[in-house]
Amino acid sequence: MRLEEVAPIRNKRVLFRPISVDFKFGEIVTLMGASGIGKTSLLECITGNCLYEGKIYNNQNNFRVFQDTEQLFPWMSVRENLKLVADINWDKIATQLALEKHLDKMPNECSVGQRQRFTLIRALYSDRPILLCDEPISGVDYSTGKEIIREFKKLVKETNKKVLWITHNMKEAKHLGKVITLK
Amino acid sequence: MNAIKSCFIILAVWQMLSIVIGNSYILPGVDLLILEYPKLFNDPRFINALQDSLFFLIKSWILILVILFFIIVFSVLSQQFRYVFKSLCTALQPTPTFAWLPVFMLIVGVNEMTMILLIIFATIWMVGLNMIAVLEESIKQWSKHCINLRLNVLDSINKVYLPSLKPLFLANFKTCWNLSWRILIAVEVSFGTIGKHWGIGTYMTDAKDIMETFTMYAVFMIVIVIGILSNEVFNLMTKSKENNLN
Repeated sequence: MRLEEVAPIRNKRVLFRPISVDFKFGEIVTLMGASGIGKTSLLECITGNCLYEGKIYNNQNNFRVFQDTEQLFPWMSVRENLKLVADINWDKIATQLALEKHLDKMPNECSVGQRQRFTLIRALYSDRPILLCDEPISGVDYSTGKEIIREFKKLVKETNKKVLWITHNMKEAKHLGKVITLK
Repeated sequence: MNAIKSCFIILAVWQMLSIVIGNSYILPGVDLLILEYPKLFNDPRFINALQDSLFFLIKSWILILVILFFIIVFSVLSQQFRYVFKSLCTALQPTPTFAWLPVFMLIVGVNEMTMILLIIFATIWMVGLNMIAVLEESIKQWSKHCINLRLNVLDSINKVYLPSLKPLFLANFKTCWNLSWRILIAVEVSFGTIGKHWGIGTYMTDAKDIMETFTMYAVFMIVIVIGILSNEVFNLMTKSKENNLN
């Protein structure tokens, strides 16, 4: 996927200075900007729900959107939740993240941070090559967020996915790698 | 546990009121009521009445659930149906249930059918409206997740919508049962013998008519206890489902 001089248009107004991004497999691209600047609108441009100027290449509905409101289904165990996207060896992945003892718990028995980790993993292991994350860890504290990012970066490399990470948090962006600031 | 507490509170208040009133023919004490029960449970007329009421209640309740099932299915399939049903509910829900009694008597005659229709009318609008509201809420909350996880229609219904709706539907079934119980006893007390249905409410009225005050109160207490117990059973069922969702 590649964005070339793309900027969202709302009420006939271009929201920010157009940006160009080339996504590579196994890499996270972070879009950072103040609240209300149009970060989510850019994501909607990619998903085809917002007008924009510029060009978006390779936009073939091969992306998965992740928002911080996404949750594990509370009526099934964490393992069953994960199995909804792929029937793979979740024990191995959970062990890598030291989350193996929480796999058979119900989501309400896990902490917020653990639930966030599992939802992110579930999104990452979906069958689509591009993951669009809209403020995915805005609900967790800084140190937990930092830990989640560290694990997530490792898994992105392993799964060889292209990830677009949207945030308004400069500290968070600092840990993610390639950052594009919206102005 | 709540049911036991409620029963004890009722008995305590009952006993206090009985002492204050001081006339056991108007309000007998709990001790006199307890003495009445062996006689009551040895009376085949009472056992029959109790059975009749409970069977009738279960019959009406199942009929209501079947109607609700079709309402829900049609609501999912057709937005127009949902709109029409919601409008009907808004129009008919405020109508007092007993206002329909003469209408039903005129249409279906004076029989059990009148009572069934009355019970259905007392419950279906409110419970139907509630169930459609929770259905819409569930679709709003979980549809994005289903799309995101690329679940097919069958999996979405089976793994997402039905489990999310289970506790809410159970709560509505409880409301349904409670309303049916109230209306059934009310109808039995007022029109039972007319409707050729002889239930626990009718037994109570008959006991009052022949001045068997203790028997009347003993049956009244059973009506209260059945209400509390059925409520508790539904509460337990709902709670076990809700625990997983919090």
